[in-house]
Amino acid sequence: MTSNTSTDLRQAAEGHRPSAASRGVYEYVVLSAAGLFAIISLYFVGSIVWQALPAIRHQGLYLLTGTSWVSGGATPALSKFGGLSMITGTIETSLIAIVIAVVVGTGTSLAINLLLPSWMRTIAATTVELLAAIPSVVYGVWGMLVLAPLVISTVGPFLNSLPGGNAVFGTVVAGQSLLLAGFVLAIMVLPTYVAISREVIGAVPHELIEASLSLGATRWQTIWKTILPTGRVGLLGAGALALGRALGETVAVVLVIGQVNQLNFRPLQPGVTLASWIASQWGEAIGSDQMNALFALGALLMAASLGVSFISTRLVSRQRSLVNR
Amino acid sequence: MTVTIKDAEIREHLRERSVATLRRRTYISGVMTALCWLAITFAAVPLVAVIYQLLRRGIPVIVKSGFFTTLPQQPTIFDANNTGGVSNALVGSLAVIVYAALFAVPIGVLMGVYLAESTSKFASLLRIITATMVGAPSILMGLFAFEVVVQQMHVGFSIIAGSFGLAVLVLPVLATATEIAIRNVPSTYREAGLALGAKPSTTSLKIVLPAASTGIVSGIILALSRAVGETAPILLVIGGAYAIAWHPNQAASALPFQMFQDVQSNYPSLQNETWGIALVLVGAVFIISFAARLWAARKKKVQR
Amino acid sequence: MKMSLRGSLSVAIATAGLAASLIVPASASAAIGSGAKGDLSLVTPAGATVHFGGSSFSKPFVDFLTTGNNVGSYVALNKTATFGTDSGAGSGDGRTGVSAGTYDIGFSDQPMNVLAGTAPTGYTSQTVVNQTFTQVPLALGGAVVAYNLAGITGLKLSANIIGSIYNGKTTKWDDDAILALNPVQKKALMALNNKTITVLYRNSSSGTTFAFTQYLNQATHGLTPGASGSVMEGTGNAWKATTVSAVAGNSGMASTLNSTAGAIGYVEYSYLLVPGNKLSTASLQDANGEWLQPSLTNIAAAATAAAKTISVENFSINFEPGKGVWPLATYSWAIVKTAQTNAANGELAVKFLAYAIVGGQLKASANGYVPLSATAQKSAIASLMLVKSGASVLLTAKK
Repeated sequence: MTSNTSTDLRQAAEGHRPSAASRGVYEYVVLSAAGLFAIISLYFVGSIVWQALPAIRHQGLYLLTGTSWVSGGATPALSKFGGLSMITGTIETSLIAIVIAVVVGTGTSLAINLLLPSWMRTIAATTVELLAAIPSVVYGVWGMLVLAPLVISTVGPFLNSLPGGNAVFGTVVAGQSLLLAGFVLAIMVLPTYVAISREVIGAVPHELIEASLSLGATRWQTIWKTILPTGRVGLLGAGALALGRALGETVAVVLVIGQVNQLNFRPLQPGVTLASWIASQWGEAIGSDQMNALFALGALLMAASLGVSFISTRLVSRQRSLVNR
Repeated sequence: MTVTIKDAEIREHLRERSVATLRRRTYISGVMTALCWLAITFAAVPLVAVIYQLLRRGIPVIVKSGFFTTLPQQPTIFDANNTGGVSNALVGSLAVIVYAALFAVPIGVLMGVYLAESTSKFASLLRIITATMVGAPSILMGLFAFEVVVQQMHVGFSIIAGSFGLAVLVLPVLATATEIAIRNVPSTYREAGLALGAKPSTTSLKIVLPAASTGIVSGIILALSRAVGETAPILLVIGGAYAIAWHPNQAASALPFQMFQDVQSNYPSLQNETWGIALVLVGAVFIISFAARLWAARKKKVQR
Repeated sequence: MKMSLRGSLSVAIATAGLAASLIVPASASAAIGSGAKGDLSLVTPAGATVHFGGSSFSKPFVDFLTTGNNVGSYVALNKTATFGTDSGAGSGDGRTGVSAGTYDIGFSDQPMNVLAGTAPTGYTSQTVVNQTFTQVPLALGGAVVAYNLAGITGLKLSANIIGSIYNGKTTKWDDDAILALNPVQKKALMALNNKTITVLYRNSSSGTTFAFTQYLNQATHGLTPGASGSVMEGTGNAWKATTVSAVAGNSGMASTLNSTAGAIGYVEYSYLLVPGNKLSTASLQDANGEWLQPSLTNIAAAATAAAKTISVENFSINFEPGKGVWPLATYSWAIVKTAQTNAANGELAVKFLAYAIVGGQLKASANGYVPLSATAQKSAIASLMLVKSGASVLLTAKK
């Protein structure tokens, strides 16, 4: 593209606008990179769905409603692949994670934007960002080797000792549980949530806050009645973005959830998620109908997380345009 | 007179009420502010706790002689502490990320340029696709890499399959980082270039891209340093090997992969080894991100 | 191919010349490393790499053989050999791995057998399976029922009780049925304060699970497990117990058992030999109803009692009759494709297996396994000599 520079310059000087016909190599290179990514993205979606189709055809609705996961081996007709436990486990752990992350994250963002002295803001913000720099497998190892024993020795017995503790939380088993998985996930998605919510809260116009305070509202009233309502669309988007992250997290969950294919609803019971089940069953599934079933779980996960991701991006950009208006 | 008394009563009553609500409001506000403080403390605790464990348990592992230079060993009942080192995983991780970068960086950056400069419908569609793909679960990249590289290209379980998964994972991140870096270049730069009679492409290449290069490069470094720690995209396709391997077609190990394997061992020595690997991974990511930020900040200062 | 692999497991190891070589003595008196007629060469092509994986039952033994600094390991003798990591994910992983080409060698506690439901997808004829895959026994070991209760050792657990625990009917360690069987430990069990039993099972297809469920099935005359009464190898979600955790591999089982007070699980015998192990083994009843603690002697007795030449079609040695016969014993198998695509890797695979099956057996006992019988070794080597790459046989006797 540099060989033609002089011509290009002359053309530009003459006020010649590059039409589609006379687009330079530069434009084509840039456009083809963009096109390649679009193709890769489509191929990504397509190939996962394609590999999922045989399982969808054979298992049908059982993929969504069944709780057995039995490979028929050489006779695929006997195979039963039900994903209900994985679906519920994914929802449960993500919900636990999101509740913790939203409560703690909103508080953190408020503190960073409104409470902390300015020199501490950067430190606090960096601290939360650094949480995102720790690889997932490290959280898994930490959860498995440090937190799980704590659940057995302290947290579990405490929750069980509460009135009705066994009925609500379930009996503590091996430490690895839905609760632990949700907790670890919460830490992992916290930086995502805080990054957006901090921006959202920071973008609330100062005049609004000052007006509220000058009318005699306390700091909390200003937060509750002015800041949060102004930022609710963006905060929802931040929550959705964090939810998307939580849905698809894999290795950390494998190590802390207990990998039990059961329909469990109590936080101290073990469970399984879509992503963690794919990872743990992959080895023996390769080349069999079980692999297609795992792809089907993957397709489900893809639909859920891409959907959530899409919605969250829309929400966040809507918030940005709301504030900028 | 009665009127005044009434008036005073009412005023007194109102005053009392407002004092009460004010007190209640102040009280609630105080409690809620305290809760915000609690939240930020809670957010900081995991980081401190993880780093504490990494240092306490990780340092004794990495100072062990041969940790970086020897191959891993399996402990046996005769030698329960025989864990060896991580040389293969170190080489494997480097190889995986280098091949991934070779693929992802050019496409990601060029695509970012397109996103920043184009106003076409395709660009806005691509922006949505990119934002959505950023949120795609990493395990799906493993499935995708298996389907494309292992099955369709018949390469088998290999470094390049892992690289492919990581590349697809970081592509949208790289594109977004590039787009932001370019958009951060003041529009006057571009206008000045065009006013001087340069073609838009020349303006981009000679003026805007150099001005954005700091942001682009630090974006690349940050994205790749995070990718080194990713396990899920490579877990399904890298194959795992005790040998040092860097050829794209070879199966290999990688640091996060080896952590995932070792922590599930029944030998405490091997489980303990994971703290060392974790320290290396986290240390590398922290140092690289810190250095990249510092460099970017300094470059910015110089430019101003 | 006149090779007599005598039962003598004399050290078949030599380091002659440039490369170390495995010598399978032509006769018991053959000089070690003499390069005598009938020896098997250990020399493998440079750069050959073998990927294997699967059964965690045989993993400690395979780990021993492929770990460089163990005296008697294959890698100590053949320094050019490289092996892939073995995650010990489970037997199902070994069989699909070798079938899909992920592994050069797949380890599985059950050979690929159409009737047993362990043949890979698409294989419905045992003849085709036997033509495609060469399957040889690698190790003979026992599975044990282990639990984590500090200070309480040697609990007697009948197959009925174990089945009842796994199906969620017996949930506490001081259950009357357990107390009735264990008058000696009764006080200690009562002192556990109604301790909940944490039931551990494997999260993927496991040969140890297969042996365990087969034993429960046979010993309870089909009452356990579950209503189907079928032998289960799979993910085990048919267990009805609710205080459960699923673990990856025997290593995950051993590790979770060790870290979870009140847990019960089934694990391969050699995992108990790991230093620092806190587990106790339950006494089980042999086919005669006598209580036994596991030992290499009574695991070996299972192979003797089976009194048969094991084969791909007839491989179970679980719950064999006879006095002092451990009821949970199984062979672990190594599976390779009979037609190897990569000559170098294929050669390393069969030569490694040949070493493991003959020379390696000298280290079996020390690792917690029972050495294979001379007959089993002999037929295994004969099978391995059928493995080819193209037209050339990969394992041959020296001329």
